[in-house]
Amino acid sequence: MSNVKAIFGHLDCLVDAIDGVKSSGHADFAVTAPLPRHEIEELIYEGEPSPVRWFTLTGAIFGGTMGFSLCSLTHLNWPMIIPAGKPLVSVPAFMVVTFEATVLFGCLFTLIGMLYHCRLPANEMDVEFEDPRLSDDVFGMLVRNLDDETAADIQSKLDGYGAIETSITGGEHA
Amino acid sequence: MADMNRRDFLKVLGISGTASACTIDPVTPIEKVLPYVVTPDQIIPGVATWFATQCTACPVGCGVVAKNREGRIIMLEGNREHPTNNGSLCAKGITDLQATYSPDRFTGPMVAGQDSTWDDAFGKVVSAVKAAQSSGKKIAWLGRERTGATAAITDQVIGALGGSVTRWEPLGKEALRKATKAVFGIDGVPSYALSQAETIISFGADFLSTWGGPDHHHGYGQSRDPDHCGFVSQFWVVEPRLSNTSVNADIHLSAAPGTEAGVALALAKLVADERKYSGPASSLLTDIDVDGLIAAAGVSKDRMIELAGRMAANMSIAMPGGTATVNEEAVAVATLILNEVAGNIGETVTFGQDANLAGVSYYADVEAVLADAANIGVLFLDELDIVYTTPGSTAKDALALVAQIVAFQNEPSESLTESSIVLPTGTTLENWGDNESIMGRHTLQQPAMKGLKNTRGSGDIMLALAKSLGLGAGDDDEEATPLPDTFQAFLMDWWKSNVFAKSDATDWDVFWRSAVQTGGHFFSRDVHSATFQLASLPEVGGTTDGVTLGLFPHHITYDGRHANRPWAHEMPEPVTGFVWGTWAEISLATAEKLGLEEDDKVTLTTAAGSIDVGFFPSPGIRDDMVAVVMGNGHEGAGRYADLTGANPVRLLTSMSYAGDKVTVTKAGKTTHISTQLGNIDQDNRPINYIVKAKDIGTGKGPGGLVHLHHPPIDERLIENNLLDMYPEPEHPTYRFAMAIDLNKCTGCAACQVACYAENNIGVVGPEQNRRGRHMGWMRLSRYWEGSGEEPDVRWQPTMCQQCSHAPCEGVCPVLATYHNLDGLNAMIYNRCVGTRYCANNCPYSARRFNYHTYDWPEAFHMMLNPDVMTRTMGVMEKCTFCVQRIREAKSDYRDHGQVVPDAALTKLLPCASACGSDCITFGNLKDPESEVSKKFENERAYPMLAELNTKPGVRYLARISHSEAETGHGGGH
Amino acid sequence: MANTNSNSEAKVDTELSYGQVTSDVLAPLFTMGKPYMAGMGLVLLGLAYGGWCIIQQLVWGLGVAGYSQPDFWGLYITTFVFWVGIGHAGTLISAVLFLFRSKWRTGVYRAAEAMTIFAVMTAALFPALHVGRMWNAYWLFPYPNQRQLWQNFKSPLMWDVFAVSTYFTVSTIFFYIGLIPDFAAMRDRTRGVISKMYGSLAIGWRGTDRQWRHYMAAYGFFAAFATPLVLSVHSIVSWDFAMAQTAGWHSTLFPPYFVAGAIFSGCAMVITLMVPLSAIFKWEKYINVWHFEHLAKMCLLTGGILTYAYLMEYFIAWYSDNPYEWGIFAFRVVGDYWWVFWIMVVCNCIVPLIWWFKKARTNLWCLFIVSIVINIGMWFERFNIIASSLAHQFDPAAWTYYLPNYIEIGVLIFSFSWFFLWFLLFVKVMPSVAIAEVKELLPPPLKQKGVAAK
Repeated sequence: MSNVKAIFGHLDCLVDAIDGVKSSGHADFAVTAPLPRHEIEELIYEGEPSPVRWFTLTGAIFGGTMGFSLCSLTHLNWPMIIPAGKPLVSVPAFMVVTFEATVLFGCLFTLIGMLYHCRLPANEMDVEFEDPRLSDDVFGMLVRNLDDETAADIQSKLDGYGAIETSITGGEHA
Repeated sequence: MADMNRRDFLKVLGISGTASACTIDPVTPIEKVLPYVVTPDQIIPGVATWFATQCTACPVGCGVVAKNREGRIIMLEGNREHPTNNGSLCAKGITDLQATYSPDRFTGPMVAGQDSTWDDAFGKVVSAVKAAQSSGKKIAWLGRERTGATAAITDQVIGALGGSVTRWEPLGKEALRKATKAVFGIDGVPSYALSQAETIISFGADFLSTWGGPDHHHGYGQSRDPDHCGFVSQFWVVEPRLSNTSVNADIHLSAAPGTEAGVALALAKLVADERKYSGPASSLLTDIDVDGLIAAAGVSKDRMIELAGRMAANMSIAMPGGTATVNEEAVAVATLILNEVAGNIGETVTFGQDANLAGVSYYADVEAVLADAANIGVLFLDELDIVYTTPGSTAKDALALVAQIVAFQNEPSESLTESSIVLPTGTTLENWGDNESIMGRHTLQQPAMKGLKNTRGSGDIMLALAKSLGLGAGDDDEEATPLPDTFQAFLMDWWKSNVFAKSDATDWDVFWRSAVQTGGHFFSRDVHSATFQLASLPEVGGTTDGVTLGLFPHHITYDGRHANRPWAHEMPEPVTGFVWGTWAEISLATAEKLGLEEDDKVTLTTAAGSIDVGFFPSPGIRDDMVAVVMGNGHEGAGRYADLTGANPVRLLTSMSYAGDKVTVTKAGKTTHISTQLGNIDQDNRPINYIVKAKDIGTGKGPGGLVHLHHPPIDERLIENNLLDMYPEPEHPTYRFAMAIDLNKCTGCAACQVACYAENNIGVVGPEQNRRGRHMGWMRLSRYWEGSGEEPDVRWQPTMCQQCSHAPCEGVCPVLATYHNLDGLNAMIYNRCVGTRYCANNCPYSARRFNYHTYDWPEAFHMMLNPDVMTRTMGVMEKCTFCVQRIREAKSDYRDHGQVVPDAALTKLLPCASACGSDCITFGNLKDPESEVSKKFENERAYPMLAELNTKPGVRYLARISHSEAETGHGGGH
Repeated sequence: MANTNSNSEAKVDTELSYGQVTSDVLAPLFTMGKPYMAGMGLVLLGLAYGGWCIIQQLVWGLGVAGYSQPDFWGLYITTFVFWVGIGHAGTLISAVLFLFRSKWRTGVYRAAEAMTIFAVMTAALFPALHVGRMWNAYWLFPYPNQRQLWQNFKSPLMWDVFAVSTYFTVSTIFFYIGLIPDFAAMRDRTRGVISKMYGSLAIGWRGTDRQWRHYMAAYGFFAAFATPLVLSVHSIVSWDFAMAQTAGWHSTLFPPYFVAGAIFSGCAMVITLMVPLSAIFKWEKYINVWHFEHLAKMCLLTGGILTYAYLMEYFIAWYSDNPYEWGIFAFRVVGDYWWVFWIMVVCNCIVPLIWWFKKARTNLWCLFIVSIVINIGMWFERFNIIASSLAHQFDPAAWTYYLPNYIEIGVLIFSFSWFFLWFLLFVKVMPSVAIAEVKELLPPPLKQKGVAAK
């Protein structure tokens, strides 16, 4: 088993390549870009939203609940007559902390969600993409887990789409 | 076996514990804390013992009770048994507590500036006396006013030595005494029954501060209380300036300096005509030129006629001039004539139970002694700083001529010369003693604590002197009994023969015990009238050109004797708010003319000399008058005394505190003195209200007379109880509260000092005060609303108002302040981080912040109240309604399952107990019968800044104004 | 500085290639010229003097500062509010403008965000410095003491603790997330240890489709969270005053008024920092008048709101017929603090008006100087609010006059030095312009036109 790696200098070539590879029934491939391009995302994920949002929602709800209960429970735990006759649990006064906690935990959970889904932090992932140009001005594509003849076939295909260079690497993912 | 060992161990522990307990020593703080196994008598840890004794801060002779905790006196309060001060105590009296703990006290006797032993020093005294006798030189005694046995022992011993005893008070009522002699042929001064006078006229007497004592406060307070005697006295002053007392006046007739006597005579004439007076004085009045005198004084004739009408119509009192009055004696005579004409003699102005001046000399006598200094072999100086208090260098030069000065002195003084023998006699709290300052009122002084230093009472010294000179064993005098060994014994003998004998008591022991317990024995003399016998009118001084200088005593340092007490300088002077320094009162016009700004100093120059002092632009002083406070500016009289300003006595050309001509010029900036009061008036804000006398009793209900809310709130809100978003917190048993009657408050500042003493409040000193870090928990706000003839100066003692809806509580992030079930706004110092948000949010500006750690120099730390923790750097503090006293009272009564009764609360707090005019009432609002509850319902009662709806636990009873002028609630709205 | 009129219309140069952007942006890093060293020197000097003042205060107590009762708050809280205000522009630009998809944001937002974070770090010093017992300042954090007593969550100061710490955390996350792709770029552009360092900062970013997908989703959420935060933080800070009933503070107008002021000063600060930055780093291609003009317009808007708020305060004070309210507002104009008030008015309401002229708001010098004037004005606005209201509290018998002394000035200097210390370090170790996002503005490299539209 082996992988085909291609470097593209132009966005439209990359787009064609993605199209081609998908249509030829190979799902296991990855694309890199030095900047976010919507074309790529739409092609690959057909506009299906990222699951990160569920983390965000959970975090926000958790944070809000926690913030409000922190205020009320601590005040109930030691029922001291304090401010200016306000009741122990005075909702308006506690809204601020509630809001801040909502935002804080919403963000933290979002961060966790994002890192989780991006598989970050990582050092061993996508080692084939260790190429300074990829963070600079070129696009990369990696088609994985191909037997030798399809690999050769894909490689020629990608060359056809106008890759600057293509190569076949040993498939340690096998 | 093991048990035996433990038991032995416990025995040892027990013994050591007892030992340590018995050898309790107030001087050095106890290092080891060992449990009392056998509690020594008199010392129950945590429980105070109160000793009845006397106050020697001034010659009035009040009775005090001294609070002893673990062997140290930590507080002085008025003795409620004592008829002179009825339980109150003035600022001077409380401040005198610091005399015992002063860091500048001599540790023991000194000879020529060198520390010495009693044997040595005393031996030197004896030899000096012997030398004087052999060389035919005189023995002389020069000291403060003393009476009773304390005076007797001196008179006896010095008399036996053939010496002369001269007792003199720098601020004594000399002029009035002479006048009384001239007018009524009585050697004494009248006493004034202020409580019965509907009109009080003062010709400059500072009778609510330094001229007379708490009895005046008491009477004045009653005369101002509509509920007490059905009327509210009107207070008129005839004076070229306004003193701490006369700012309370309703009407101020600003007579030119030196014309007060004329005004008094003119008034006498008017009154006489009004009430068809035909008494002995009438012959004198015939040729009085009323219009001429009034014109000379520059006062309004209409006012004079109005006043005369009032005096003729009902009871009145005319009081003579004080120190700052020119031609004082003539004024005194004139006022006595006025009283005679108005029919006050024997009614409100009486004789019989007045100041006991038998043993008190005139200044002339002092001068005689000083003039004869060269012939004096031994001069005993009894705590009198003759050099500081007298003008020129007469005294200084004279003392230099004296062969040997023996000074009875606890602290340095300007009158000590290099060769003086200094014998520290200990303070009032450490010795036996007594007084009869007011005839028939024998006040007893007992040692309330162990002496802090190596001292001997002056009585004991006198006895020892007599012994070593072989006196006393019945010489020529009729005193046949041999002198006892101790002054205590002498005192008892004296009381036996002079007090017990006159009393109707039968058993001496019982009598003595009760005398010691109640602080003395008080005969009630029946007061009597006097017959007018003045032959000719006094010489009435006219106006003179130039600016007249007048000195007035500082409300605490008095004649300077309390100048080394930090409290005396830390307390803002009520009228000016000045701390730590000497200032001159000058008119607004003069200040304008000189282009004076804040922090400027002025140079005062007279024929005698010149000094630089701060200034106060007073709306109440005439352009041709400058008044300077005295009692500050010492040289070599202790660390605090030397810190403060200049001594205006150096400006005097003769021993009369007023009359010299002075020129005022602008000097540099001051870096010392500063005022602790902000604005001169209340800036048209509705803070301190007045009500019209005519409205009293109209029964408009609580606060009905004063317009509480600004802007006025919709009545429907109150009816439907919609003013509050949240209900008032629960107060199960107590809601502690305070009512302050501003109509009685005289601005004497006693409450402030009491607060300092009770609560260990830090003294921050001049530099910090200048930066506005004053720590007083109680601010005596002064709003000078009026001007001209109606000064309308309003006091407002402002402390934490213990709000039920306290703005400070809500904003503290760490819960360092909260509301407790007794309605107190509690403060947890340990929890405080010092964000100071609470103080920003306090509309009363009642909170104080420790910008530094203010500590107490050696010995003052022994005076700290162990029930109140001292605060350190970075912590917020404020009035707590003396929660420590409330707790004590509550637990005392809880032991018997009772609620603290109102009687135990009304005067529980030091401020309330110190108040002379009885305007502070403390109590429990949950008890509808309590005095404070009734006061809260009083028609004059209003909460400060009511519109903020903080629900304060303090209400003020508005000042009653006799003015016809329409001033609304006085806030200008 | 560069000739302004010629490139006054310039946006981001569309002829640039991706590679060009990367190298331009990374060029000035790790090189320290004389001006930089001089700046650093000044900063360290300031830190030394300020530190000495802080130590004095720690040892002798707050009394060494100029406080005078009842003026319990002074320069410290003033400066706290000032820096929190500065901290607003960054998140506003990066988050709000991101949601509005306004293109001019990309050039400036990275530096603006950095500024935000450093400003908040500076502001956070002051609550600790101003409390009476600095060594106990940590008691303000929500944790129970040994007796299980927690804090008072009803106190606006506790709200502050939450608001500021949340704001700091969120901005930092936002800032870091934005940096990840650029860290990756730097990892690939550098060698050896430095490369390793940036590699670990880039936490294995490769820019794969999966990463970009979740990245962009998360970025949107962060922006969505940061936006209400921008509005809330200064509202909450304003409640420190509005919640107190001190006259001159107790006003419902405060939150919007403070937020406007914050954005006003924040944008001005961005201009102050960016003008020299783009000039010195030769970044006119990325940060230029086009951006500054937008920032200037933002200042004009918020400045206008601010002026309106000032007027409205006076109207309300007069209309309420409340003697305390009106007293304090009159006092501010003619009283002891008249000079503070007039500095505020001139700097905030009058001088910025010059930007209504296009010539003025496209002239770099004018932009630079006026932006500094604005920040002076905004500092004095806070001082005017705090010092004057406290000096003249309700009871005239307790009035005072407070001026900061050399200790407080020292701490003020410390705060600026502290801020610039971080900023100077930042511009040398991180790309002050967002590489990946600038690339987004460029047309993608295409073989034949029109395909990208697919």
